[in-house]
Amino acid sequence: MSRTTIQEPTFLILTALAAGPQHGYGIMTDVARISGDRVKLRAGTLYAALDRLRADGIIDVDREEVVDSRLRRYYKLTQDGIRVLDEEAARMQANARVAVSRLKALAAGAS
Amino acid sequence: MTAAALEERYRRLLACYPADYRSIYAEEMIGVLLAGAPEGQRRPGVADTLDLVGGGARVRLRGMLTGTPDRGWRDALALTSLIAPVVLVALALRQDLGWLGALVWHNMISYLGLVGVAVLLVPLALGLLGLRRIGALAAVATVVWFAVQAAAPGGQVLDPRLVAYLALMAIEAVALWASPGPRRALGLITGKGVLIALPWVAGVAYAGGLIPTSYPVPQLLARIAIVVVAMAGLPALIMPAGRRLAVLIAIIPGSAFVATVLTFAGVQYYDMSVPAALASLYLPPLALAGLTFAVARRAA
Repeated sequence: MSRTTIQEPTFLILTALAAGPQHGYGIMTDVARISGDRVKLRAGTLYAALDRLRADGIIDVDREEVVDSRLRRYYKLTQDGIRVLDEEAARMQANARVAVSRLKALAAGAS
Repeated sequence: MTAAALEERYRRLLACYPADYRSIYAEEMIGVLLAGAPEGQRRPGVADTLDLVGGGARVRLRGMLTGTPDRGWRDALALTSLIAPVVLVALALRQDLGWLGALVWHNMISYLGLVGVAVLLVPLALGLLGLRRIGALAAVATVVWFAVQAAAPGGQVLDPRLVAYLALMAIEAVALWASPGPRRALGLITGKGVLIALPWVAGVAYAGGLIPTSYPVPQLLARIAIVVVAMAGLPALIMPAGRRLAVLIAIIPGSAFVATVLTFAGVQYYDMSVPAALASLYLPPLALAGLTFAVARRAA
């Protein structure tokens, strides 16, 4: 199923995973960094998204480690996930390009 | 100590999530929550609390909307679709056979009891053949038919037993419709489960048969309580689900308490003395509850 839009937190999670497999806390801090601290995911939101993305086959578990006697699961993008992020990024880019060119035209008309 | 206390409080908040979800993500989420907590924090912050409560609600809602709720309860419902008719037939054979005949055709009291038993088993049989939706419709049709017969002149619309039969057939309809059905249930039942289930069904039938039906209200309540507890308790008994099991078993003494209050409020059980009525009503299921609880704990 091809998605026409995905929500920003999801987009940022997928973008974080595009750098390579990451665990939950790593995704959280990376999303904050990518968004310039504008989007701060909390555990409930993050894992609801991860669960949904796993069920949809967008991401998968890469490996599990035990650190300080605690389970740490690393997630990665699947081939479907790479395609979804690629399509979404292209769509946003195209929209942004139109917006920028119209704003330029608007500014030129006003001057 | 502080970190341990904080972890414990986060764990309590995670109870908002379904058990299936917790079994996959709880440890990871605790790790993330603790990693994100400032040094010395003792209690979950308001934002994290709201996020977890909201997240749990969303996961549960999504489960309901997509028809994939907690697998444990789906399986419980599947087992219910198998067990509901079995409990009803056990009750019918214990006491209600002639009366059941009158529900098949209102002026044929005492003659059609075995036909009634067959009617009770039709939805289950359809479910076992893989036609569970048709079985659910058959259960609905049975509810309607029994209600029409009971409402006919000379019928038994005021008989408290009718309510129990109609309620259980309605539960059967829901269970057949909303769960993977009795075929799945057969796959879930282990030899140990059958050993637990058989005395349970027998105990329910025994207790249900002991409740006289000539005084509507308290007997109706007691009967429905026993049957409903049996319905809810059996799936939990057969499956390895410790906490659910304990809660459901605890309802049995609870139902006995209700009946006790009603009895002391002046309601008489048939022609028995109060202690004798109470003992005969509730000691067998209580003893069985204790026994099955012990067995199931060992099995879990």
